[in-house]
Amino acid sequence: MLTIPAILFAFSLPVFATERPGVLIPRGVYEPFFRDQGEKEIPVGPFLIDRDSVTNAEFREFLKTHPQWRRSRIKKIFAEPAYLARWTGDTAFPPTMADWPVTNVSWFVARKFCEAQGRRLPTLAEWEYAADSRNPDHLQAVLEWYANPNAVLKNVRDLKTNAFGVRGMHGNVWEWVEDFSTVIMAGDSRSSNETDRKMFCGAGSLRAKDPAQYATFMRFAHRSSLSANMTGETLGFRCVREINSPKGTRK
Amino acid sequence: MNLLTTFFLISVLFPSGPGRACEQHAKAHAPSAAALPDQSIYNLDSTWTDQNGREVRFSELAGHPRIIAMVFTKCPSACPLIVQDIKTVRSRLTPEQQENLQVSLFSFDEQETKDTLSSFATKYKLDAKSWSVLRASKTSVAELAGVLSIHYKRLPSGEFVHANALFLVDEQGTIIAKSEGLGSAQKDFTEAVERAGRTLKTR
Repeated sequence: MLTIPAILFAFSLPVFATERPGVLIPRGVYEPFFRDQGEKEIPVGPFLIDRDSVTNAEFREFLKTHPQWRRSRIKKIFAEPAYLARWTGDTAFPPTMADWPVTNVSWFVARKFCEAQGRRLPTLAEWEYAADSRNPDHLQAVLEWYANPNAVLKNVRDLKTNAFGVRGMHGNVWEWVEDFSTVIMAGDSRSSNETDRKMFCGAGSLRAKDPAQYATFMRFAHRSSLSANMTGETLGFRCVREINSPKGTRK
Repeated sequence: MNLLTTFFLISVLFPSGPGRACEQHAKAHAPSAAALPDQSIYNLDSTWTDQNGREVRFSELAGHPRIIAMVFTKCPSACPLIVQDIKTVRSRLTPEQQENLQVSLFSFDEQETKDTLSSFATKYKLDAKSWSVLRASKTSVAELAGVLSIHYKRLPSGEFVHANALFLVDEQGTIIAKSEGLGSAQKDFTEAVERAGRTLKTR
């Protein structure tokens, strides 16, 4: 089909930074975990997703050419004070962290990194699909991760690869998605507080399709708690690159 | 590079059309990017189009305190209530203050057109001297919702699920008050708007 020319096209695009290994996610269908009114399955792909989370070393390269995003210069509207908290300077961090996922980065900053590479953040649907999250194997891995409150960040090379060939989607860090703010949780349905209902115009049903998917529920709950300038010790990101098809680029 | 230079020259030689007196004042007095406080929402670089088809660079909104909210014109219930809440708050100001404490309504919907925006303004009798209803690209909408911490989602019907909030920003774009929920803005917010109104100098 389009696969081979698509890969060749994607890798022929000029990039400023070193080409980061990408995994081709073929055309597929994402079943939304939470379904709002009228929502059916969402077609995704094909797209190229970074095989690994963006690392501290890669992020440092970006900051060298984009100084306005350094810790000492970034505007607080774009990242809270904990931005790159574990780094020791604007472009310095302990050497052991080089191949760890970069964390303590905000949505704004993550987007800029991807943009500089001719890429973008994955949409929620793309991330969930590429994460192969319905695979029961992953459920166990994620629950083990949650059960370990003192988990340390790991080298991206040491993480598990899933059926698509993507590494580290579970068990190391949470990851930003472009449309994290589409996750709206208006609070406990037992509360009939009118004020809460007025907080959200048209809040949809919060019933998950499959209640056994506790791990996925946690991811969605986490996303609903985020603001764009927030950072987190265990919140990183990776990028996707569009693959142009005859249907045209995604809006 | 040639192409870039061409675009640069075009944008310099043919800027957007004449704005209202207040806008021209804002353009003349708007703080430069470097001078904007860290927390100013005007640090965002985006361009919006209002209900009259006029292009507005987001940072040009600096220079006056402003009431801001995010809506969409197809909205059946919540957004008209947001408009009503804003009118109620503004009714505490003198007519002169009302003219200077402007309102900008930004749409979640990148598919809005000049017609949908102006129909909305007409329907809710939004005085053009003080009210703007604006649209921009999907990315610009996401970034604005990002700095305002508003969660929102497009439904298959074309309508949006979204948080409801009003914001008062000062002349430099720092959020100084926020009112969440519908059906009469909170007391703190109303008082903040009154204070902002009182400090406005006649221009």
